[in-house]
Amino acid sequence: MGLGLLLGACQGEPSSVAEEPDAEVYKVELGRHLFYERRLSLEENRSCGLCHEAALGFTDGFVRAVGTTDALHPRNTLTLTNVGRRESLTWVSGAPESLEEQLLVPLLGEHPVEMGMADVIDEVVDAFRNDAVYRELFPSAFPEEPEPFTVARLAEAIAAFERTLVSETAPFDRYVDGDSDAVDESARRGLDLFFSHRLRCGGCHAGPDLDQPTEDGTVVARHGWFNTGLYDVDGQGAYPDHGHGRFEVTGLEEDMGRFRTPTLRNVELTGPYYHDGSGATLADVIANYAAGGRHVISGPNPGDGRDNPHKSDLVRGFEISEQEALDLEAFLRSLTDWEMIEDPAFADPWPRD
Amino acid sequence: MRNFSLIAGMLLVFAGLLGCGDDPETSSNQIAPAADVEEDSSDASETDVGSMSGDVVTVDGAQDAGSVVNLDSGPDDEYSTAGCALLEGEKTAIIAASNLSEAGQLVLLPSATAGFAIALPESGVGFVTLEVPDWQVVIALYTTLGVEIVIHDPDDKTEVVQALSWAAPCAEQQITEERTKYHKWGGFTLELRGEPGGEVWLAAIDLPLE
Repeated sequence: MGLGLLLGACQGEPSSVAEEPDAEVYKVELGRHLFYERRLSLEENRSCGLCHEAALGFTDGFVRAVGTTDALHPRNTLTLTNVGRRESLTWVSGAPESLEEQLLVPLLGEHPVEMGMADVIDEVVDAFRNDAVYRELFPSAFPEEPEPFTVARLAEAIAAFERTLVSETAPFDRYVDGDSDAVDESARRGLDLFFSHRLRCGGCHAGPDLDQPTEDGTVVARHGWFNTGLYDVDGQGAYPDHGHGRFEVTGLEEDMGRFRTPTLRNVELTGPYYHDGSGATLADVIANYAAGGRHVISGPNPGDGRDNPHKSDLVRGFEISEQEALDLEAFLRSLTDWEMIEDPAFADPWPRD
Repeated sequence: MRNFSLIAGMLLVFAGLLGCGDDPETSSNQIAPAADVEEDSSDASETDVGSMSGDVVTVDGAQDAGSVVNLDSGPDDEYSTAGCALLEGEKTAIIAASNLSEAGQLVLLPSATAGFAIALPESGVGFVTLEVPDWQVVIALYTTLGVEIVIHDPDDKTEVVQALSWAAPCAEQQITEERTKYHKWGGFTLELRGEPGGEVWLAAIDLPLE
């Protein structure tokens, strides 16, 4: 399988921006301030940036996310790394399709409550008129807009910032660009293993962000949804009630347990893993794939996911030595883009105690 | 991992109970040595087991007649009152994972309104995940004498602020508490050691941010 095909042109590049460059710069900067704005959570204990923390690969460190009022969410938080390239923004469905729409879900959603702003958002945005920073940034970001202090413009600005969260300077990228010293020998072996016929990781994790499905080595869609055999709580393929996958959207039995393949960029930092955070470490994840699924032997959801009737044919299991597993991990760590993670342009602009 | 229940472990030794959780997995080097905990304890007088200074309650060890367990009494406040009520009242039944890698399937949140009765596997060692919902938050864990709770903290994000003590309002029921400050939110694995195949009572209450 050729690496060039696997890393082929991304199908979800953000559209070009129509605004003047200066306004766009202001919009991104406004978005960065709003991204880290804790007044955008009901208890002022959440922000986009707290729940998508750079040091954690733009995730939150929770097993399953916890909202401003301590509501436990059904899902593990997805990374925002290269989120501007994605066409599907959730674990299970293609909607909402734009970042502007999607970010209103955590901001305003009530099932579950994430940031809890449904009843107060207009009031809070209106109060930003009295904030020295926003008094400058909102009009500068939207110079043609007579009334920029709106939820729609807020969403537009945050989305503009989120689109700048691009990872393309990881050691893996430099290696692909020809710097043979960018990754060590172990990571190179791991890369070969990853795309090998034996492991077939590239069957689901290909393309620039390693989140696209392939057939015969060719990327076939921007996104894929797969049941990877994590659970089988009833012997008929059911997943636990906190997450049934695409089944929740389509109602189709074959969609039980199918979740969108996430990007592997910065994956070293984004644990715990899977749609419900039930995979503690990369080693656990590799072991589960090697076993052809996860046999849960204890706790509330026992069952042999390896036998899940809805499991993808791509999850067949494979032999892997201890050294090979380490090599695979080394490759995955080569996807960590420290330049991006530590980029001051993505950092919290607000003074903190 | 930081063993916030070193003192509980010492108590177990003291009461002749050690060995109920001798699973190879849990005897790994992830369990912090005593020195680690001593370093974390800024005020030794608060953490010394058997200290007779201050409010000390002496209770006969329930599982080993003849042994005596000395613990300082913890604060008598609304949180210990709530913790006692949760452990003495109706509890939510849950099943612990038997290994670390499955702990993420069982997620608990601190709650002043829900206590848990956690079924342990036959090894006597179970695992659950405590989601700590905020930064710089103190969470009090309530359980019963003889149960050891180990908080897995590989990134050193926690510190003991109130070492294992009797929960003041319910010391006579042999309910203990310990309070831990979490400098950062996230999922923390709790390792629970108790009677093989037995049940552990647990309540977790988060105290308001200072």
